[in-house]
Amino acid sequence: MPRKEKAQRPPDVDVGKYGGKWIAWDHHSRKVIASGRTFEAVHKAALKTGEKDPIFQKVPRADQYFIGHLHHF
Amino acid sequence: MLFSYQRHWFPASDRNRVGGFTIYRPEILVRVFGPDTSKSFQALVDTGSDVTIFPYATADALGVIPDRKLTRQVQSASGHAVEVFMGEITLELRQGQDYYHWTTAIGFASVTGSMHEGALLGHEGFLEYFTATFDGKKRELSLKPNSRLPKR
Repeated sequence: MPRKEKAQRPPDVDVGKYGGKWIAWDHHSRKVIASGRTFEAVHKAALKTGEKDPIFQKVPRADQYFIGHLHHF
Repeated sequence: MLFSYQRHWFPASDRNRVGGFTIYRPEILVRVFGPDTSKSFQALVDTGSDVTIFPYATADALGVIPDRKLTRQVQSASGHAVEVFMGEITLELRQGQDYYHWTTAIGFASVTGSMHEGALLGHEGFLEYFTATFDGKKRELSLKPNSRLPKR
């Protein structure tokens, strides 16, 4: 019988709190350990917490929807 | 591999619907290996993107030196032209014991507020290697490797 695949579930994002910011999750994706305006600052802050393998994410601004993206020309 | 969409919670404000609302996006966990180190990102799988793009700032953290002679112009949905520098990295998707791991060229973009500034997994370098099924009802993305996925 084929194995039923279980979906990998990412953490929920609070756009009200983190909209427009970079955030770093702990390696279990359970909690945000750092946030800020730039990747560089959040990278540094995340490593400073002692977390060895943070997960980085840019959260879109709270007042923006996406419509399509990049086209090569 | 199966990935649940990521839930983005928008609070109530005078710009949106009363009571707040939720948007689900196909954002998945991907690991990026550069020459020096590797980093993990929550990245948007974007069928509207011709190329796979990471922010320029991440290149430095990975030890990638983007080839400034090998640049491309890309255009965002809003019409803004953005220059990207190409660099070679290795991408990895992993779920439990299963993983896919391939080396590819991606773009590193210095971007402004004119477009999404996070990691975008587009056709070149990512979607070209998979059969992707977006299940809007279940809010799940299924990725099955195809024969184009480079063998290790």
